[in-house]
Amino acid sequence: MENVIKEQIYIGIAELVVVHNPAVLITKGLGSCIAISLRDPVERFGALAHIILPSIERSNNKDNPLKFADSAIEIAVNRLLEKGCKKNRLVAKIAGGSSMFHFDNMTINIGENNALAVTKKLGEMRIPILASDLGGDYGRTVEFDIEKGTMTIITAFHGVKVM
Amino acid sequence: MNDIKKLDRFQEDAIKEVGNIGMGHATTSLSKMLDKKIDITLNSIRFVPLVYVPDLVRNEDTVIGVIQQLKGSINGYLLLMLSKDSAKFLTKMMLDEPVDADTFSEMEQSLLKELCNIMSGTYISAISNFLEIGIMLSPPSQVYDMAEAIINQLVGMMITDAENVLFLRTEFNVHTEKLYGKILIFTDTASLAKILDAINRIAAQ
Repeated sequence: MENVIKEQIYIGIAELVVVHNPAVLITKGLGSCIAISLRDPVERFGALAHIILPSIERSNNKDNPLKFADSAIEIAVNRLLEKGCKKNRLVAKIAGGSSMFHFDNMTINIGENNALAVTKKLGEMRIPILASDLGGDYGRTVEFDIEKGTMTIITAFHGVKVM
Repeated sequence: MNDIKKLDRFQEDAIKEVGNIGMGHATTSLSKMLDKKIDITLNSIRFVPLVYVPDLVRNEDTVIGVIQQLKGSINGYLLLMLSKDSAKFLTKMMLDEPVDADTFSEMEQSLLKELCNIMSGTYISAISNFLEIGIMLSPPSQVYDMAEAIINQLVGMMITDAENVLFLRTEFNVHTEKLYGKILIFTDTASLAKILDAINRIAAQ
């Protein structure tokens, strides 16, 4: 099985991909954004969303619900359920939400707000967060392997972490 | 004023020219410090939804990035990016002490920050004078990280206020050396409208 070359799918800002095993879902260079992976280990479906803002409710422009933590998680869960996944089997892993630069007049920390919104929404939907790698002042590239359910975090100077 | 959807050919060319003027002054200041001839190699402009910006800057390298907020009449950010080799080349030229190949000492970092600050300051003041609108820069914030992550963070910082962004990219290099860098300008639609007004004013003169 290790010899099989898995399909690699790249995911940009405000995008969501839901696919059946085997595939590796990749999102590159996360700053304050957050990558949210969801997986049903029995049905072997997985999803990766790349959100940039915390909440659709608090936003003036609601054109693209995949931009927001709360709405993107809902859409991802619904798509997984449509594929036959069971809600009580879904598990999540999350990474990102850093704050790389600082200016005197910066009052809000977008990375932190995104992280709070993601954990809140997953909590409300009763989806357990198996692992998370959030915050800090550095960028992350995330690779989510649907077969194993592992999330690999690659950074420039903070090593590589498999979780 | 906020309903600009697309730039016409004249507007694009005019804003590119503004970028050239800025970069011309910025590279002259660097050229004097290094005593080397510096060329402007690429100049591109896009007016796109913010979320598309990372696709325009596909770059997996680790870079030195110096970010400054644009203030005054224009809202947005200026990002000056130098490849690692370019940053090393600059510090080697300016510092007498031997430099490590992989990491940047505190001395090197503060030198790079200052060099970038001089370049972006010259760039913005040239644009500001030319357009006759007041643009100011915040003190710089410096990072050494994946280029894509730096862009991602900038997009994240702008997206609460702006849907579309004017994205102006000007690149420079020194042919004889490993020196290559770029200045990226990100501004919102309201700022774009002010820039276009200024251009129209100049064109009418």
